[in-house]
Amino acid sequence: MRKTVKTNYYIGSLFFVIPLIFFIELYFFPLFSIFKNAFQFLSRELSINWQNIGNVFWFTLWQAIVSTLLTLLAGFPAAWIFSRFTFPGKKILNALFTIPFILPTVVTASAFNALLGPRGFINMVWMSMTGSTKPAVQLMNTIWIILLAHVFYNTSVVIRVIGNSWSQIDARLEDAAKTLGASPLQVFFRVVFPQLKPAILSACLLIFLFDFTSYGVVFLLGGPKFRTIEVEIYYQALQMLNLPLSGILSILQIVITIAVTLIDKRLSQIILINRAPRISGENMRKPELGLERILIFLILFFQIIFLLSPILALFFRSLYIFPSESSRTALSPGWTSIYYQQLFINERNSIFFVPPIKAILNSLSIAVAASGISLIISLFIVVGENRYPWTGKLESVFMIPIGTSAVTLGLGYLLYFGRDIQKAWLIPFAHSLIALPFVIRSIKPAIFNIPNSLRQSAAILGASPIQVFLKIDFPIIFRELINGFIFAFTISLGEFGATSFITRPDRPTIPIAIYRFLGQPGLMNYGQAMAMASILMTFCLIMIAVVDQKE
Amino acid sequence: MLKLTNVYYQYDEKPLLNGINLSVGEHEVVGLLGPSGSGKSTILRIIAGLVKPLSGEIRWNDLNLSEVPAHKRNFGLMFQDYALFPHQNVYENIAFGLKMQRLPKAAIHKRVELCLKQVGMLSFADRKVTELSGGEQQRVALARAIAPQPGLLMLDEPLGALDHTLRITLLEELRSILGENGIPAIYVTHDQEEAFFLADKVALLNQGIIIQFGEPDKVYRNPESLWTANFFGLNNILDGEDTGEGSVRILFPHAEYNFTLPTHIPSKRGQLVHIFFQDGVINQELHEDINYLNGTVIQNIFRGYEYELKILIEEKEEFTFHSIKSFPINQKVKIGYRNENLHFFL
Repeated sequence: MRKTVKTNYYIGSLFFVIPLIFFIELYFFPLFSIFKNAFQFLSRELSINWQNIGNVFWFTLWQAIVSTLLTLLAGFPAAWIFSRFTFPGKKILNALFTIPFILPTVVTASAFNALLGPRGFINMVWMSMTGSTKPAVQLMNTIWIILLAHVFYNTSVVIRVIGNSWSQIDARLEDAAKTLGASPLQVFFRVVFPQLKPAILSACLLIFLFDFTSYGVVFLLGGPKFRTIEVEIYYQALQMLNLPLSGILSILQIVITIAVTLIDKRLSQIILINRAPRISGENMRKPELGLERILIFLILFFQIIFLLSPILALFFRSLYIFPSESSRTALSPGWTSIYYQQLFINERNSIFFVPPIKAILNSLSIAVAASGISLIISLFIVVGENRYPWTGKLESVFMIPIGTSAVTLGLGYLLYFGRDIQKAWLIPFAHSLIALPFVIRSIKPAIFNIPNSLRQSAAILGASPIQVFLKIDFPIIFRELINGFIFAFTISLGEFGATSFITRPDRPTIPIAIYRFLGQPGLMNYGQAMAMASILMTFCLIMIAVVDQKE
Repeated sequence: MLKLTNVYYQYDEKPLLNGINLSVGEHEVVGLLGPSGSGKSTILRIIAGLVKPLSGEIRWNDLNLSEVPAHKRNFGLMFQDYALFPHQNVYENIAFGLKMQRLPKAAIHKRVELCLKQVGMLSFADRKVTELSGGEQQRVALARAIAPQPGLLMLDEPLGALDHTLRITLLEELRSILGENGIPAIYVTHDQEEAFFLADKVALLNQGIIIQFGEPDKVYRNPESLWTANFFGLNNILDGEDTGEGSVRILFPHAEYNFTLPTHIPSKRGQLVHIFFQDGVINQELHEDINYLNGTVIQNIFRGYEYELKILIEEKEEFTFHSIKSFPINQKVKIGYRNENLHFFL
């Protein structure tokens, strides 16, 4: 007995130790460096510009709150429609509305640039129609475009979280209230809203968290004037070379994130308690003719316009040159693939040392490596927990990185790896850590849903523990493994926050390349940014389509 | 043959098996019979090697199995939920154990076909297991378990999830397949009829102890404890008091009975003694040492091939009888018992 417990312990330890080393080296030590650096600095001198930190914090806070409230307003009508009505095309719309949420931040920023920027679709059309030379819409580098992008990003959270909860609320309760004499408004505020409150709060907290730690969107659309904590961390670390100040900001970010996450956790327990199981569809009905149908049509119409126009504008701007643009360059107006062709060429005065297409190849190989690492580490964690339950404590440890923003992680790498920061392996490993929680969430339920009797049957039929994994677990969870791989792949392709700290000039990734193109003047750079962002967006759309199809 | 000696096991500090001694001989089917939670399935898991016992020894012929992992024991185990591999079809499921033995493809094919034929599922080879009915899944699970020709076959409530009529059909099939293959088997069930039907010997299990072991009819006819009698649903039991003078007295409001206490029961004045009354005859003269009880028929239900009677003994205790003859309600009856049909328990 004692002997078997011991061997059990040794084999289990293997499942424990490998992920743990990964975690300590890629998360714990880098984060520890931030803390050490910040506290050492605090103990030596106290000349910190607290005023600056206060300003940054205040801006981060209020833009997050305003963005959250606007998102709630924008998504609420659609949440109502999705939870209470059936209509043709609902499934497709549902998938469509999810797209913004999965887009990398650089793509969203590029898309809004393509729609509302000085060279954006709206301004170009307006200028060619009026002959004016000044753009009519001047939203770039204002708070408005930041807010718009945030709303665009998170509307699907409102639709999903609030819509799901709403569809669980028995529609007959509303009918009962109506028969008792309640007006539609009273029905909403006295019957629906009280039941929906936890879901609304939960959605708001989640969105607040996204907006509070917003980096790419603010960085690329806000210009030098607007700095969230994340953006300030980057400025202080890489432009002012004030690492301790970045560290303090990172700690601030972590503290806020953890606090909000804890509140959200409490809330989700309340949602769970309140939820009574219902047959789906029972609460849904077709919209009535007349006013109701018109209202639903209008809401959905504007929702589609709002969510699709930036995406379409991005594709359009990557493929079309307006006559007014061509007059100042040698480019001919109309539909063109010149921006895509240019990606293959290494120009002499280029901002890269290599043809931009290399960035795509680079990103793809990083994504493959990162997803592979992520998958292997998650398998160690999940299979370990399944076979040796005592290793399960590790999993909660691995959920911690969710609370750390990618920018903070990048800062940690800068401090911890020092000169090694330029090593090629660091980016895939960093991406794999960021993707890890999502991969674990994808494969864990699959592994744990396999009845243990299947594994026991296989063992009795002569399969060794390794054969049991290869013949039973692996084929059964294959689909989820692929999904996990795709998640990790998509996350890696679009990762901007951490990468902006650890990238090498001659080995850019796609998001870094887009960022650099957007930072340069000239139509050709703008067009190439659009082309690059379109390519990245296409990758993401394909990935999500593959996952959706399988489900 | 398989031999378990003094096997103990506990889970979460709670003892589940308290010294199990059990042996299964060549070509023998042993029925492990007991209520849920008695430790039946745990015994199977220990024999299979899925669970390590706290102490005790498991021997297969002359080999001590304690260090042999599950996948090297060459036993077969059929789970209650069948545990068919959902990602494999019927054929692949049955071939699984043979592939593990690295048999040549042709040999695997031959064996799988034979097993499929035995369970009458030959035409199902390419079907997905998730599309099969409960009875079909059960057959595939059985075929998978016997395909690698295990030294011992264990069946864990194999008919538990099926409806009544299907159970009867499958029970007969199971019996003939077990007979054909001649594999020693342990059959776990909580259903006495299943155990009696299939098993050469039954082991009666309660709270991690084997209460009684033997051929089914002997165990059923000679319950050695009140628990056994209750478990078999033998309800014609009266409680009496040891007079200390070699007899047991049962008091009723208007009557008193005295029965001779057998010598194997240690007598102690005033102790409670339960008497199980077996095979009573109603209103018939018997010519040997006879004990009589008086009662009144209070219920008479026609059951097709017999009548189920409820008789109130001395206006107090209810007995149940199955009789070919019908008796009208309220008729006073006299029930006779031979001495050997009185069983005394403390």
